[in-house]
Amino acid sequence: MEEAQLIDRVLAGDPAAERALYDRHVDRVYRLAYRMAGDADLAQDITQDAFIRAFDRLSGFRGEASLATWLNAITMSVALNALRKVKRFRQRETDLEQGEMVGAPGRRAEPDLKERLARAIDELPEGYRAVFVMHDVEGYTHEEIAGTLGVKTGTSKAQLFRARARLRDKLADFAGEWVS
Amino acid sequence: MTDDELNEWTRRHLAEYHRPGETPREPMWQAIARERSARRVAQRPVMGMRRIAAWSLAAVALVALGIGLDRVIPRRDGTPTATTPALASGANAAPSTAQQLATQNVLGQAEVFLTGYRADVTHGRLDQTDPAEARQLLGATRLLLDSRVASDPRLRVLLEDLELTLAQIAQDGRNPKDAKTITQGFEQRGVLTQLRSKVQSGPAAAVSQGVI
Repeated sequence: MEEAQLIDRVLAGDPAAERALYDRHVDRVYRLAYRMAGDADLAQDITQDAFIRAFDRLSGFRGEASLATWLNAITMSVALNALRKVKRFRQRETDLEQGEMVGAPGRRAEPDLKERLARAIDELPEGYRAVFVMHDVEGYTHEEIAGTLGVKTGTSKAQLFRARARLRDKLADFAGEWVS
Repeated sequence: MTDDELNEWTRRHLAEYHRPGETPREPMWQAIARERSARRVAQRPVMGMRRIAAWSLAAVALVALGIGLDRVIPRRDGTPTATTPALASGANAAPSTAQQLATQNVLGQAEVFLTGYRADVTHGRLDQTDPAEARQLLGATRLLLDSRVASDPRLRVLLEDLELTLAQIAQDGRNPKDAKTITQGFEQRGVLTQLRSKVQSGPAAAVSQGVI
């Protein structure tokens, strides 16, 4: 069934069409949510919220971009909001843990480079990270990223360049020591 | 290691960054369908969430009235009333129209309340849950359990499940830990699904269709 027909049926209140639309897009939405969240529960919440919002707002979908891009935009918006909340929560937890660990003896082992890479990506500024994950991890084009994040293609390219530069800086010190 | 080597190494390992497992399609769809159903219920103009308190009171009053009328007014067809001990809870004792209407009201109200409660639990809005509403519905449910309508075995089981759920919410419903357990409990017992199947067209429709 054509996407436009499917959307019409969803708007007419057909539950089977809702499920068909969900089935058609859920893998990609969940994948993007998971790449951003790094946590199965949070990725599920993001995916669910994204579809609930999408169904609620589907009547406003004008077809200027593809439905996939439109869904990605909602997913990224939900994901970034969720991650901001999680970040605030984790920051509070970290503050508490650090308070408890004052004066604790011992030295923590250095993580390996893969873990360092994951952490470095996690620590990228929000905009850089979104572009980096979409482009370098998930393989979206700059045009698709621009449509999803509501930025210009040039901005997407510039943010990717800066994200890569930051990662290189963060990993350079460890690369020689930890990679054989 | 040169920049190029580092870039190459990074590229090779990026696929492992937050690598997703299999998409949990069904659990997510169930959650989406539940939430959308809850929103539809909440958007019904007559049964809007803001009117819950008024409906709860009305439902309790209607149950009491329905049961009261059934006890004091002899039936036209000569069927003994509920005050006749031998038939008060017998399988052949058919509920009156007033009791059927009252039952629809209570079940419809319970459906709206539990749907809203589950959404509050999911979204961490337990401060919006009013235990008084649960207590009012609990009272109405217990009246139904004492009436002829409970002679239907399936309905009786549903009413008992509902009684347990409402009692839990009235007592511990605003405690986040208990709230999750309560929600899991009534979902596992399929209380909402059964309520929806019992509430055919809703109490508002029943009234407007001239049942009374």
